[in-house]
Amino acid sequence: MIAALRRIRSEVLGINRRNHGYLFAYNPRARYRVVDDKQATKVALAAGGVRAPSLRHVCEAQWQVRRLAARLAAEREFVLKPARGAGGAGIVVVVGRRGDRFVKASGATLRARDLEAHACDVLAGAYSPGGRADRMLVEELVVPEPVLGAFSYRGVPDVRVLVFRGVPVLAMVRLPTRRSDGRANLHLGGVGVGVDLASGCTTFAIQAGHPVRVHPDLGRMLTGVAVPAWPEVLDLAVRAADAVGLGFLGVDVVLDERHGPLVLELNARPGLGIQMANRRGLRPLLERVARASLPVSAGERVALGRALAYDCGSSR
Amino acid sequence: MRVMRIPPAVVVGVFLVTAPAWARWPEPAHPGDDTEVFTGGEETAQGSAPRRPALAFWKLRLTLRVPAEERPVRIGVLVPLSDGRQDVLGRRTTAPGFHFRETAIPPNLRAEWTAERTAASTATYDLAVRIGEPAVTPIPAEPIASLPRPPEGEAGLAPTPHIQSDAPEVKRRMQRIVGRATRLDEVIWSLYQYTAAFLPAADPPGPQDAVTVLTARRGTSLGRARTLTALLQAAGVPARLVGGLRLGSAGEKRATNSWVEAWTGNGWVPLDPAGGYFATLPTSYLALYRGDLPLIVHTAGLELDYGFAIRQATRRAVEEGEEEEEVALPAGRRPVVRGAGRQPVETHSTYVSEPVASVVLIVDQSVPEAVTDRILGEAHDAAINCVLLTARFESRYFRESYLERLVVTNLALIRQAHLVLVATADDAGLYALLGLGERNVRLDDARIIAAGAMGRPAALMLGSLLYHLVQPGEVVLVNRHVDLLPLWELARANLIDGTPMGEEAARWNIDALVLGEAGARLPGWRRPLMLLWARAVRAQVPLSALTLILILPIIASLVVIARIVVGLETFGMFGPVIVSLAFITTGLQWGLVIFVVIVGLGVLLRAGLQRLRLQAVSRLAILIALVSAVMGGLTLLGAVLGIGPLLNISIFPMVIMSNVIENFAASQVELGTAEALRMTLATLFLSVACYLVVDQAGLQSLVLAFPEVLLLTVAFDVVLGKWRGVRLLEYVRFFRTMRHGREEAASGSTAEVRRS
Ligand SMILES: Nc1ncnc2c1ncn2[C@@H]1O[C@H](COP(=O)(O)OP(=O)(O)O)[C@@H](O)[C@H]1O
Ligand SMILES: [Mg+2]
Repeated sequence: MIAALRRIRSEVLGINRRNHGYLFAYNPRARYRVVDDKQATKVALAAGGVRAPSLRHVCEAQWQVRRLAARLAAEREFVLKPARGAGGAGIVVVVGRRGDRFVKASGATLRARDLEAHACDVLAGAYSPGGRADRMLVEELVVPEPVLGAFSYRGVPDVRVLVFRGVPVLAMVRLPTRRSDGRANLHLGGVGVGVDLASGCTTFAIQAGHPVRVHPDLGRMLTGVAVPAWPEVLDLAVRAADAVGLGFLGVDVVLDERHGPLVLELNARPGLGIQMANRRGLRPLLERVARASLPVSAGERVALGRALAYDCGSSR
Repeated sequence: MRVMRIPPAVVVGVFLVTAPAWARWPEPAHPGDDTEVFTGGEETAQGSAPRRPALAFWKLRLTLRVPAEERPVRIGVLVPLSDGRQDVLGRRTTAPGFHFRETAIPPNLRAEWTAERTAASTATYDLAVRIGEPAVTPIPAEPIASLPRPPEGEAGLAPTPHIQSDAPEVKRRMQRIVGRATRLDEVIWSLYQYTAAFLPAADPPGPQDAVTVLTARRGTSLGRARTLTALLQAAGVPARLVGGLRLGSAGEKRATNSWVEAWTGNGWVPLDPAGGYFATLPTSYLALYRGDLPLIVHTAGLELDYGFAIRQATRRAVEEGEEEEEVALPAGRRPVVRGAGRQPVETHSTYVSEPVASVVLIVDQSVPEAVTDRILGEAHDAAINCVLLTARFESRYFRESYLERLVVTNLALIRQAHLVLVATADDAGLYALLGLGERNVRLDDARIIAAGAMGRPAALMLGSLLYHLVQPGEVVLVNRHVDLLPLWELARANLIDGTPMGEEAARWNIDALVLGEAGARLPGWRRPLMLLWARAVRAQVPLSALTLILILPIIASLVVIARIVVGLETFGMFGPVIVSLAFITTGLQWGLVIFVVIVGLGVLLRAGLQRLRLQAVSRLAILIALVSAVMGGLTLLGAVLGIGPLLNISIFPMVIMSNVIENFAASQVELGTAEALRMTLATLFLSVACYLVVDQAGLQSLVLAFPEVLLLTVAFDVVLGKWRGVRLLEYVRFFRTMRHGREEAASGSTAEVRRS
């Protein structure tokens, strides 16, 4: 037990150190705006040639809500998102229609009125930090590819890649569960599965901070699954990090059935649960990357990250 | 004096539980084995019209001489209470071998002495009263029919065997006297005039019931009062008998006097047909009880001898009279009188005829009653006039504010005192005394002794401040909560023999800090600070409120620790800081109740609002409306039920509470009820922790003595802000997974892929 606590002290990255050692040091204040606003993120990503789910509409003011509802009536499937939301708050995933009702990922249905009311809430800032007025984005629905899709309970799994100075250091697959209501966020009850950077295979899994072996709803073994298109996922993550100019961030990559890997969202204050899913503290990795002299090309940095993971993995 | 270490909330709770019982208190049936002593009617002399001062002070001693008895003995005497006209300023009893208690029998109070057996002994009951002579109360010239009923209800106003208000002859006579008159003033005046003209009773008097006296037109004061009562009642005017004493004659007195009180719609008006007083009474009339009751009830066959010794006193000797006194009892249960009994705050005094000195004792719950009782007794024996001011609260803020209130209401007493002895658990008593400085009171020659746990630097600062403001002869501070008795000995020795305090303290082995001409002094470079505080106090700045504000940075640092080092997740940063301040003014128990009530109702309402689908801002506004309504309601509830802490609730930070509710609801939706509850509990926990620190740790004195600490907290915040260690709760969080090694669960396929 003492050994475990010692290991936590010396290897695990806690919030205090994350804030001081990494966020303050590597993430310039001014760049936060880009990632905290999902619309701005999309613009920056597009400029950097990084693929992301396409943005259908933006609703900026209350008076546009009516028009938006009319437009949505034509759409079959879409996702409503507050531009400045975080932690899955205020996101409505519509996967189909039943009559004039919209069917949510959870199976519940909504009327057009409900969507309008939700839009009003979003615009008024109900889901944005500090209650500031917000915009509402309508985004293309991501349909997960079957490999990870088979591990998800009603929702879209994503791959969180932690990128430090443009080098991927740790990754995990996040799987929605019944408890997380179709969202992949860990703190909502999603399952996090660590991924070995070198091989792209899942290693350990956690849910709500506790180790698990099988998916709680689907009963499938979570470890030893090879994540499809792994090299592209890492490549996308690294290029996304380059595109927004942040030194320490979490990149959420989804694997779409049709479009392949897409960057769903960037996180300038990535959560630290990824260490639990990998059973590995971030500090040794981060410190090595901090000391290393970095290659310029994205491909080489991906290779560096994978080599590093292999190094640290085998040294244990 | 009854409440010792019971938190105020419990007291209030107990009060609430017992209140209905008081209301239903049955008129005591006189048990068959008791002897009733009706004492009225012995004194029938027409009242002369002496020169009457508008205000008179009296000291009374009831002496009960009880012979030796080998059986259980019980003596009950009705004793006076304060009403609008008379104020009972102090009570004290000595009753060796007896068990003493006082029982409220609304509207009266009965003192009861009981013993399993007695030796021949004497029990005394001392009283100090102030009697005012109000101007003649005008009786409204309104029809009787429109008379509102008395608040006490009609109970006790019904016909009795002695007051036969329903007897036909009484009715007939009443109609004859009143004639056509229907107005209240006319009716009362004619009935009064009629009975006032009766002759005094022949010696010995016959039966003194209303009908007999009415027929004979002759009776004792009791008989005539009964007659007038019966007539008034028959005319539809609520009326009751009053038993009392006519004070004034020296020597011992046994006889009581009776008069009548008639209800006039907004008050009881005295009528004394035997004495000739209409709608007023001289300051020599002391009302003992109301109703046609025996003054004394005792075990049958007991050869009880009793008497009242009465002495007129000067105002100075008794007490200054601006303040409303609360009835303080040395033992037994407190009666519910005039809304008293709400708080364990009491004034209590002994009176001696020719005091050699006068002492004011200020104590809190840390001093047991037995000790104060003993001190009062010893003071009495040493002919020292002693006034005891107590506020028994665990909460430091309450103690301080109630003690200060007591100090302020007893300014006149304190001004005369030769010695003020303060013993509180901490520095609360000293802060209360600063109230003197605020009102520019100088104690010229008097001494102040204060004991309580406080750091020496803080004591030095507070003591110097007090010395500077109040300029007493000496301020003696004892930096640790010592037993009060040695301090008392020290004080007594100083008062009687004039022994210097320092010397006396050394003899008693008390580590005291003496401030005065020759005593300790604040270091020169700290004096400007002290003068600054003094200026603030003189400018009526409540020092305790000021220091409370100065403590805020310290609480904020605590919150920083909780968040950065412990990793507690709370709703916001300001919430815990401000809620903890609110707790200070309401006390912890009520603070928690209020918090839970408000957040609980708020969350329910918020769930209801969810359906309305309002925008967040208007929803928040509605929550604020709810929170303010709840707070207003609780304040009124506090006012109605007499729950003091609820009255301070308006300080509760409404907006912060609304925010807590909104945060709760938001986290409930996003993270689930369990998580939201956990965060609420964490917020509450942190608030309570901050409260405990602020209320107990003597921080107020610390910032008073060293305002520089604030710089320290800033430095501390900087250090914490740079701290990179793993938070305590992160250890817990990571431990669950990190204790498993990486190898044990690593699956074979990973290894294979790695090789390929
Ligand atoms: N375009 C989309 N298609 C399908 N599901 C989506 C889409 N966008 C978001 N989601 C779902 O919502 C969750 C949170 O979305 P994300 O963009 O990460 O917002 P946040 O910043 O609030 O975490 C995702 O994990 C996913 O389950
Ligand atoms: Mg996300």
